[in-house]
Amino acid sequence: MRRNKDREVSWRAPRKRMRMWTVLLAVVAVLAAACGDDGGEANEPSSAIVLGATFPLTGPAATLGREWDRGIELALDVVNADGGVMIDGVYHPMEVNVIDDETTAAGAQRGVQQHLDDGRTFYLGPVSSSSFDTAYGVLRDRDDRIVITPATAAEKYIGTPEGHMLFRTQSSSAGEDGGYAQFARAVVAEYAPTRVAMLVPQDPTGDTQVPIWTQGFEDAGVEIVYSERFAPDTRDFAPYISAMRGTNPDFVVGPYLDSMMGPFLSQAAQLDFTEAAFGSAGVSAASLAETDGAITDFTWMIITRAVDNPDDRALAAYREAYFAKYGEDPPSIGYFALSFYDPIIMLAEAIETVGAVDDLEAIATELTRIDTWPSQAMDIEFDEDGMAHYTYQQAFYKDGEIVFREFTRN
Amino acid sequence: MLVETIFAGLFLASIYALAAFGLAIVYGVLHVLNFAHGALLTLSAYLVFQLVTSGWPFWGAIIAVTVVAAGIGVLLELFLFRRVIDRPLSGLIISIGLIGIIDSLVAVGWGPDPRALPRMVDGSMTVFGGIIAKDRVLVVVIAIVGLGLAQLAITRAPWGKLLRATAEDREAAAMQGIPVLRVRTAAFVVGAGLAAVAGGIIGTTLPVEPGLGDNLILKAFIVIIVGGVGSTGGTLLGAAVVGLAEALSISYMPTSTAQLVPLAVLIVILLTRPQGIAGTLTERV
Repeated sequence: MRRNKDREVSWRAPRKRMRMWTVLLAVVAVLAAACGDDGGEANEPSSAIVLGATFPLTGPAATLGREWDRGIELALDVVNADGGVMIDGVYHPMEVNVIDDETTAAGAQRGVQQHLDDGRTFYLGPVSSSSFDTAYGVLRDRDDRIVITPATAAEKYIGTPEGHMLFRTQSSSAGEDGGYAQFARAVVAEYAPTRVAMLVPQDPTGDTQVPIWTQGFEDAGVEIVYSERFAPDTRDFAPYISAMRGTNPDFVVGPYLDSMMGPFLSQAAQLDFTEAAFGSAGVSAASLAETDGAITDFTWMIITRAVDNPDDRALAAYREAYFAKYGEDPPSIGYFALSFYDPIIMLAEAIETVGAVDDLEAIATELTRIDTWPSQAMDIEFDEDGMAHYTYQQAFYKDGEIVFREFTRN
Repeated sequence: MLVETIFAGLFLASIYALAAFGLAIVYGVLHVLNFAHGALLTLSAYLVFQLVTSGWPFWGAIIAVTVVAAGIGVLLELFLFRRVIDRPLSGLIISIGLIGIIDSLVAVGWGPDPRALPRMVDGSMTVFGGIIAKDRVLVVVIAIVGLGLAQLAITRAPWGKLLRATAEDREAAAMQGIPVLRVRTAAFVVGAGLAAVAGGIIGTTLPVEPGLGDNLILKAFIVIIVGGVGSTGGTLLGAAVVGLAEALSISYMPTSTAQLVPLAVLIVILLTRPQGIAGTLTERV
């Protein structure tokens, strides 16, 4: 009897619960439909245009992620200042949904897949060369998306069918006249080194940099006396510094992130390995913070333009907007923010000119034609393949002073 | 260069030992692989940074954060790990969940930028022709003295004997009247406190950043297995082997190969001496 009673109770209660859950689910579904975004469709009046962004907010490149995030926010402020993107007489606010890739390829792939599942058509990132190939694989064979990325690894797809509607927001890094080759030439011109040491991470970005730098220095008659790679999570560089010191270099190419270059320079200073000049691409003055002035010569390739240079009037409005929003001046590494700032405003302009969000071919074509836009920071242009061209800079630090030099468009 | 390389190995061994010692105690007594140990180390380094930048003296900050971490250890043991006392797998999953929680706290509290604790001492010294950073010498000395004393306490002091007895056989220890649950809590307190000390000291030579402890904890597990699971003495030996092997391989081998050396050491030990260099198959703590 007791077992039957238990059974009776156990049959009825779940059915009641099921009904409750059904009602609850229905309510949630209705609310979600009412409140949710539309995944990038702007056919309904005032619906938002949602861009899907994937970049690191945690992990070794999180500092860059913060700047990308701020560049995006500042661009959205410009786009949405009057209500958003005007299509058929209706303003559509532009929004960005950011997914943290945790500075991993798997995280970037998950993020892109999530945006795809959410029906996004406009993608910011994946951003890192170390994760780009993996994550871009999700989007590579699709024609229903526009991808905007600063990743060097994107460069090999530009101008190929797989790179259709792929826009790279940084000027060429990898080509013969690309940024890395120019960095080597600038180092040779500035420091006239005869013995160069290189220490870069063992990852796809390092894979791209090492052969270009090696070629660039060797073409100038400079001997590469030390060339090693390290695991990207390495923060103790003492064994490398010890080995490097034995080769007596006069210029040292170091790692490409401040989170690596900072401890490398700090430990070099602590070990009195300070006579050489140091430099890399993608780092900033922040790398010198813990060197107590012991490192006197340091150079870094600014992949866009220096946002912390008060003498650059072209970026004065950007700096003012940055300060107004965040209560601080843009940091030295803040030049990464420009990788998305101008392209987002350009995208908004392109959509407005085309008058639709779903005609991606027309929007992509328009992106290559735009030459002016509101609150413009850089003189960026996309060629017909989607490659950005602009004037970018290299910083030279010497005894406490920083000088910025410009490179012509390539 | 050999002197510098050997010293670099000793430094690596020191930070691995600092990271691994508390972990070994917790595993020895609780039989829980506490992955959150690394996150606690990171959190402690940030807390020490916060206090030091607020004007606290370095060692005062270390002591204060050690007390706080020990308190966190008590809470974790009483409210989480004790509830899964007979389910080590559940304990493992809880510890992995704690990593996410603590890492999020760190991210919210301090953001993504690496921070730097002031060096304990500046400059370098020349030893047998090799140039060695003084702050690293101090870290090695602190690790040797501190962990040596801790090991002495575990082997000689009454509470250390209770730890060892509980680690050896919990049921037998309980039958002998040892307050096993209190010993478990004490082990967690010691483990968390050691994570705090390790975080503060390591933070004076390496950047204090979100992944600090997570990166070290993987090496710490290798160190524990190489030295002998559950043996704190073996942990110190394992740290020396892994640290020296890593530094020598970085200096004298291509880096791509050098990165595999700690793992190769681990595999060789597992194949030839599964109980670890110093462990026996039954020894705990």
